Amino acid sequence: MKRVYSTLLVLVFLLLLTAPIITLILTAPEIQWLSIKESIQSEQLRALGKKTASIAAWSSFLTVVLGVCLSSHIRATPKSIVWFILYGLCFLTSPYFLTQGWINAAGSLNFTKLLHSTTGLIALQTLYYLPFTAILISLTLPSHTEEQENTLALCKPNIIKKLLLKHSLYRFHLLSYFTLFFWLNFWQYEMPSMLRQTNYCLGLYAAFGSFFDYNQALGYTLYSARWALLTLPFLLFLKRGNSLDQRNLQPKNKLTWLRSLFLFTPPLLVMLIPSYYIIQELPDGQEIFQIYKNYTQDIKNTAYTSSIVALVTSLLCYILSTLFDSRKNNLIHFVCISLLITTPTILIGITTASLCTYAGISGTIRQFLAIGSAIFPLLLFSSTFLLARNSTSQQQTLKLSPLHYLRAQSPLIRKIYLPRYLVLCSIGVLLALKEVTSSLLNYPPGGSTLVLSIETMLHFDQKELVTTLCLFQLIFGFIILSPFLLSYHLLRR
Amino acid sequence: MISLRLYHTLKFSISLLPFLVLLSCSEQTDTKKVVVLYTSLDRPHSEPVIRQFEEQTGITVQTVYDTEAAKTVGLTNRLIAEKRNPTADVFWNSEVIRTIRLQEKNILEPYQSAEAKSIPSHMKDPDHHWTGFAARCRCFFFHKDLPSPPRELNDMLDPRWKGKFAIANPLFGTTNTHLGVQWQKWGAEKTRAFYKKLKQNGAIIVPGNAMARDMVLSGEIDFCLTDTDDAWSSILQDKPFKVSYPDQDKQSEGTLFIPNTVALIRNGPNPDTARELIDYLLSTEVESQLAHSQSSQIPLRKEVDTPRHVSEMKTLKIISADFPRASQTLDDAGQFIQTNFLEP
Repeated sequence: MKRVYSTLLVLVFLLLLTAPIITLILTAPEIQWLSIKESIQSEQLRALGKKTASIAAWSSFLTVVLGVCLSSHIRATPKSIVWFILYGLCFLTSPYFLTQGWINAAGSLNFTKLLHSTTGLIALQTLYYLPFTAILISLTLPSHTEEQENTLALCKPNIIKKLLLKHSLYRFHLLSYFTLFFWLNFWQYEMPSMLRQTNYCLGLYAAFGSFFDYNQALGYTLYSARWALLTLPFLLFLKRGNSLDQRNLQPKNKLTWLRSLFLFTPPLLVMLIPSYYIIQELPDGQEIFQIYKNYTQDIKNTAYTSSIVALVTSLLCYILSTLFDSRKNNLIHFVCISLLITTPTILIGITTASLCTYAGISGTIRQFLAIGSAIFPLLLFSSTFLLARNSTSQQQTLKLSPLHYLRAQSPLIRKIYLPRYLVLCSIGVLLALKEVTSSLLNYPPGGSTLVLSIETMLHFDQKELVTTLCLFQLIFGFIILSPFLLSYHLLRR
Repeated sequence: MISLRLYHTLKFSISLLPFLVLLSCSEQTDTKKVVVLYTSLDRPHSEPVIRQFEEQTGITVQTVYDTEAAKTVGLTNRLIAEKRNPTADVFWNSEVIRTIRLQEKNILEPYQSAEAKSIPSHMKDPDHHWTGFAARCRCFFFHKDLPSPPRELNDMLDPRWKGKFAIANPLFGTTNTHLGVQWQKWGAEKTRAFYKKLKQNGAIIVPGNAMARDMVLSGEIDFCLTDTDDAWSSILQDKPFKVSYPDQDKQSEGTLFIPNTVALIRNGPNPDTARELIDYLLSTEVESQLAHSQSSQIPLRKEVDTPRHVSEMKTLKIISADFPRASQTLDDAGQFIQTNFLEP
């Protein structure tokens, strides 16, 4: 029975993984393999692939190196929860907010040329993922064993030896983080678009979003898919990571001013400095109110789209991850989840557009499908690796309980499952609020959200409008998020 | 015990309240009259017109805008893809050639608007599948202190500008229209040679006209070939930049005028409100509004009141373009651009 169940799950995953390619092939008016081959071999695609890969590699390298440094300090300092909250708040900023903030700063401080260069793009991509990386590494990187710590202390190593030792302990984990962030950076759309640069994601959008060219879109997909498959083994080391281990969070060092400054740098660069320059460039109050009035519909659309999509997708992810939880050692499930993460949201958007156009599905359902499937992989990952794990004692208690299954479950539902579900919903809301690439091709007439409005307005020399919309996105993101946090608080009390 | 359970139930119910408030934001189904519009005109310029129509008629316009990178081509291809199940009622295109392509694919329904009578006949389809209004023209955009700025298209081939100018991707938007007209007027050989030389002279290709304009504004390049709406929207904000209109000498052929076009979609869900919207867009009131807006569009009717800088544009020497014939060249031209101009 267990085998049948596992096989079914794997089949579901395989279907999800191959869905983009299958859908494109099935719905395409005509597929010409020669044309696909040509597009894979085209110089333009290869050059774009190489350029994007090098930017993604640099950004990921910097993100992981800095993320490891930050996470080791977070874990070693007292009241690390403060840093977790602060870094968590950085999630609220979107790539548009961060980029617009720095564009405004560059205008004031006269480094626009540098910001619009490849170096600028690498710096922004590194900054954007840094808080998330620090949290993820803090929660999943295994600690040294006591023996290792003692050996290290006895050796009295200098900083280089220390780094080398840490490297030998962590190298495979670091490689898996690097791979994960490499793919997130590789499929970045918003930042290159704002900085007027081209990359692989924008190329794929142009191939399908502009021309509905199925052959070229398949060429792009297959070209990147083979690289994604090659990097898969590195992702597997994430599985060795521990879940949140209280021992890891025991403070070992004092919080010095230097350490505080270092830990405070990411929130400063990701949230505070961009916010300062966003506020600096705002128009007067009356104009802000006028913009608010003009974009009320977009704000409403943002609120209900992100909340409904988050509620439904999180439920699905939570159920799935609870199922995996009972099969912790199933490598195939892990492989499938890892591969899902490398599926770009732009491709999910294209798949949804292609399928919905073919089936005649339009309206809000199409938008929900697009955003839901775009945030699904990261939500499932978060749920499986950070939230879903029940302790063995809880499971034992449940099995031994003489009460009816539902009666036995009810306190668990109220105290454990629901709060976790709400945390997952909050992550879902944050991801849905920022999701642009999948909904760009799928939003219904009159269904533009704030993030889509920013995307359509950002190239029209209307800095004040875009700046105000970025601020709205941040404020209304927090307002939409607060019911989830409030409910979490009420249930946990 | 009971009170404890009641307490938990109440607490649980209260925790659900915020979601009810949140979900109350969701879409209201109402009996309001609606019309679905796909428009490729830049949102900052089209949105005020749409809002005014909503205020005057009480009809809600549900709009899909195009992104800068997919300009026009994205929406026309979406309309082609949706041919079996059309979602849109009206297509307001910022240029003309892609509208003609839709006509060729039998996606447009003929509609003769009473408002279109005074529009010149070469700016509308004789079978009433589409009607042109409010045009833009191609221009060079540069800093006002730039010494001897470009005056002709061939100036872009001058080595002194090597790598210092930008044009939008010729597969999209008005640059695509320009390419089609060049191919039709100059012939394939001359156009191919022109674009090859352009590439050799280091033309920077960006996804859209507005992005080319932004590069000039930020000082990254000396000038760009763009549309008047992108150029004038910056000049009217008191920025120290200027425009020049290409090929205005006696021997030259003039610059290209590209009208907006509006068309009714065949089998669209709201044909009645769609006709009302088309009538409104073709009115002199909208042409005047677009002329006075930052996009500075050029009215096709003489009687429309315009600001001074737009009146000057009305006197320009323009290419006599045959848009339907230019439309037929786009496949060959596009193929050439893709393989010989865009490939590194």
